[in-house]
Amino acid sequence: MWNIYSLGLRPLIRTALAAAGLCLACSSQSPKEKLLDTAQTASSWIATLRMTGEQWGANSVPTSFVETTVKAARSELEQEADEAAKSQAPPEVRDPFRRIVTEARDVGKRLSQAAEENDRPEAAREVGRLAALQEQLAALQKQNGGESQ
Amino acid sequence: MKKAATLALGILTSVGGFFDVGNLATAAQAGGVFRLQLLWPLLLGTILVIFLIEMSGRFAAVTRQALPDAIRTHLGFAAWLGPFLILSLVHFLVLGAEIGGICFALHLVTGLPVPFWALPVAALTWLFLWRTSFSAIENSTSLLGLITLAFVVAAWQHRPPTSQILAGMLPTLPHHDPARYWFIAVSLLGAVITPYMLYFYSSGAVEDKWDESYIGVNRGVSVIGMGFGSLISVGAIVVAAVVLAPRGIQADDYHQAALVLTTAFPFWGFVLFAAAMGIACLGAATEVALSMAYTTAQTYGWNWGEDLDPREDARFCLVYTGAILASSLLILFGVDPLKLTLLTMAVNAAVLPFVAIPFLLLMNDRKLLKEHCNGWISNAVTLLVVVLSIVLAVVSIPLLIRGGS
Repeated sequence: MWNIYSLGLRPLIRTALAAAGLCLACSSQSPKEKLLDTAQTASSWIATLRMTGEQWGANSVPTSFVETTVKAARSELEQEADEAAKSQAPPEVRDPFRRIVTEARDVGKRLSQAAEENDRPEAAREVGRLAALQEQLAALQKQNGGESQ
Repeated sequence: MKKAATLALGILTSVGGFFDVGNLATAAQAGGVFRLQLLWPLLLGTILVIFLIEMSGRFAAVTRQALPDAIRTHLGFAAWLGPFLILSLVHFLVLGAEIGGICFALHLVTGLPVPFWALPVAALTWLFLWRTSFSAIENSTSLLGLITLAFVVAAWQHRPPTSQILAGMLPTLPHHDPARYWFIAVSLLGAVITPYMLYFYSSGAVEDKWDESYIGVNRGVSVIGMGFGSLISVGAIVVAAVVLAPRGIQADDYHQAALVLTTAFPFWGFVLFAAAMGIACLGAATEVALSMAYTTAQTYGWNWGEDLDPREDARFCLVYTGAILASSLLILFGVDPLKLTLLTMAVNAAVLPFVAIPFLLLMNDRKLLKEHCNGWISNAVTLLVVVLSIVLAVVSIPLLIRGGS
């Protein structure tokens, strides 16, 4: 009966297992690096809120989409704020990050309310605030050697 | 004329099988995070899947047997039972992901929660399979699936730099976030080389009563069909790279991916995305449910065939009925469709050896295939799939932990 070993694949499996082990071994990160990774996700969600607001203003997405996207973003940002609160990262990185994320959650909520009330000028203002928060987060990432897109 | 019509089978497999929720999710992530740098896994996967699909069609045309049936008959029930059980689990997860994709498309349009749609979507998918013939599924899905060309049109409108597209076709090392880069590369391959597509295709060829005269048509179907699917996936990566990446949106959630067409098609882009997602996932869900029923029926030697009256193949119908209901429960109980999709794509990559190795043995069986046995090119490609699939199998789970978001 044939099996995976009779096909001469044992060395390949060993190599692949070693690579997998190496991959897991390399996965340890410092608290600051972990926080900067989280910042990347937060930045992505702030950008999503911003684009959603812009597209709603241009009549390209429905109000229900703004509401569900804001709900998803707020839940993700809340999780990230909680992670940041527990993080052992230096306060000069952790505290501004928490402030930006918490503010983004509030701006998201106001954006959703503005969309619900069809208040376009207010929605545009919230989009502007999100842009500012995105820039602040990018600056924070850059100062601390993280990646910002 | 009849043979020209069989090209529709290839289109169906492309739209429903090639471009499904897995492709959409991985393409949006690839473009959103790494721009055009991850086009190469798609190109590699497309070349490999063209060969595999061609082989599975050739096998069915020459032997008049579908793959699971042939593996059980020629390699023995005991040898096939393990892979069959693992593949059944994969079918279940993929079906859950596809149903989740349809539910999410409906959530986008209506704003109602994703789990709300789980049972209505399961009922719709089941009804579609219960009431229609194989050719009706083939034709309706392939025609409606043309809406996914919106990704290609959007990519064209954005005029991406050709030099960067060509550069993305060549494997390169990541500039940042290596674990995520390799995780997405593995997931892209897992999304392209899906095991169920091979089983569905070979069973479909038997349903369509292919014989040796269809070998040439089969080649055309494989290349055109898979090429069509690949083009749509390239389009999805390009629009994500052009629309999402410059804004810093990583597409970790379908809400983020849903924005990709809004700049190319103001107003209609959102609707097109929801429709493309819903239709591609519905096509894939019917394929996966059928593939599961085909595989199970062929494993146990039951009657099978989508064109038979349900009274003639009751157990075949029972399998897809149960599979659809069970998979929809994943979504009903709140499993996140995107997370389920990403897990499924990694698992897809992990189970490829169970598909590729028995397949390679059968394709070289001269008693079965006579002069239509694999040549050296097909064998080399299948061996590459075997080697690649073993590497993927071992690295996909750690990468899921390290690189999956």
